[in-house]
Amino acid sequence: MERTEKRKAGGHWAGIWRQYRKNKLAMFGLVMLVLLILIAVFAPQLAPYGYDEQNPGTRFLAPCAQFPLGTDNFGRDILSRIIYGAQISLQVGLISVGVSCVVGGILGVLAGYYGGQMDNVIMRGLDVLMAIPGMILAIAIAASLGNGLNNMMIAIGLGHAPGFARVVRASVLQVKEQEFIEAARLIGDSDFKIIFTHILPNAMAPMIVQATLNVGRSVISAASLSFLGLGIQPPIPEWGAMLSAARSYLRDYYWLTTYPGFAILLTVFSLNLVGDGLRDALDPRLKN
Amino acid sequence: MSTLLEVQGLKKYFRTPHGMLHAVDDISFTLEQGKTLGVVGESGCGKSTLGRVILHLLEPTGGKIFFEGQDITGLRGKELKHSHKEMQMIFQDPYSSINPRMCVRDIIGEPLKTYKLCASREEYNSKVLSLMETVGLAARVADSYPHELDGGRRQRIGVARALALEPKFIVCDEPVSALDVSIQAQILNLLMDLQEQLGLTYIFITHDLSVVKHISDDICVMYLGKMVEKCSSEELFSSHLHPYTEALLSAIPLPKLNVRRERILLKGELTSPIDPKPGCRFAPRCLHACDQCFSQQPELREVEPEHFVACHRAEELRDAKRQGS
Repeated sequence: MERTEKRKAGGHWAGIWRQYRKNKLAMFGLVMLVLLILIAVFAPQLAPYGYDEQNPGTRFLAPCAQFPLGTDNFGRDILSRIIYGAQISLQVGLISVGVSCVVGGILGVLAGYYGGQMDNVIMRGLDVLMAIPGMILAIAIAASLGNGLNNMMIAIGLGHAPGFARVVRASVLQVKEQEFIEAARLIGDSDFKIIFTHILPNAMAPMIVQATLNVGRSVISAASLSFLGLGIQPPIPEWGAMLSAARSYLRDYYWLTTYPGFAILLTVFSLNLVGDGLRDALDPRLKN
Repeated sequence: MSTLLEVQGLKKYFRTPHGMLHAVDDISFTLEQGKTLGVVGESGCGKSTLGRVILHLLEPTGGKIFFEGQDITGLRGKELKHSHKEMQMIFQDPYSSINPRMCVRDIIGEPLKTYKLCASREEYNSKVLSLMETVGLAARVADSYPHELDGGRRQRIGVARALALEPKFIVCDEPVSALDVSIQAQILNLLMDLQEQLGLTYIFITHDLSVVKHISDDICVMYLGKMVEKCSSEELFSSHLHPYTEALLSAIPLPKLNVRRERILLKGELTSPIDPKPGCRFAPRCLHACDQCFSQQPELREVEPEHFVACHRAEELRDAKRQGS
């Protein structure tokens, strides 16, 4: 009795947060993510050097006391570049996934929920897009929108949207067949309400997984676009771009690629933990 | 007694790649207020489709539905929403008919919110709690989630939710088939008590003949989308006329040892409901089929007062049976 009375105490979101807090790994992921965001925000204060301070005398230095993560082919401090790079990379990762969530999510829900002609038109259209390799699609979109960070994020987001739409459609289809959707229709719920209160909460798990995995892919795609001159231009640092610029030195100077790669890994990893924790916290069946 | 629901020539066909599937074909009946109409038949005979068409979950292909004398066949938008207030449904599977992400309070209260029937939070809470009391759910489960409850209690949630809008008419679509036998009795008694207290009218869809006998005033037997026999509950069990009903009833297990009785075993499978051939749909499996049965569709006729049968040889069979006994 006590317990059930207390359970509802702080409202819906407070309950989810209480549930989330119990998951240690998820909390760890959240702390890391917050740290990464803080690093990005306070980059000018945190970085020991400027991101574009070149010094021919300190090229290819291995990690040492003066340059904790070594220097690159222009003698720039890699740690500082990673810290500044967090600004761009986190933005690209999160916002472009946001774009593909919204665009792919809407298309997937429409296709899955309404079915029939709507499904046919949307999914065949997406099939056409999926037939084009994602990278080429993003290049085409970026090229037509023009240069710049915002356009690049839109291009990457749209490039990943078809895959996202497929995942959403599949899970919507599965939930739609359940009887509680019919029950909702029977009490006069609108389509909008059915989708948001009954279908999406039950179809969310695969969407969260897809979204967290896409963050890493987006950062890499951004690097490729930048490499082709359609994204961020040097010397502005961006993790993916650092990776691709340094790949010719991979054999002799491992630190040029290892540390930016590690930064990407850390971001994706912490987002994965957060995503998993969120998925579990939102599912009342996993309450204990 | 006034007529609450009248169905005239109701049809529901589904388009399939192989042709038109006749799920519900030309069904007519009337239902008095406060009565229960049992609908029985084997799986795939269209009984669930019939219930869903009456409740507008599916669009009828043809025919008309009258509720309290008003034609409600093609309602849309606001009027449809209004008619949903009067007509509700209890679903078969208590595991998939309630949203696993919502707590019991919200599941039962959702209709109240959708129709804005409560002015304040307190009123909402007290209404939900009184609904829970009506169906025999303890107040302490109000904040539980469905997975924490057993099938019987989940089905009570479904009943409470259907009652939330104070409907006059409820379609029960196999409400007890997914439950244990002991719980089945509880739910059936609950439904009957509610009918008495609230004057509800039911259509009770099931394949379980002992259940339908327990709860129905009238029973209609369906076979492949057609109504083959309709009469009062006692009459169906004592003096049924259609050969299909005969076979169906002989399949009820008797809880008696040492009683041997003749079972009528039907041969063959259900014929396809897709573009059915002319003639009686039961003819290929019928023990008494004659030439006419294969060429001409039997109409539902009132063979005896309030006893409708769709069989060319109904009188013949009745007389033969009377002589035999």
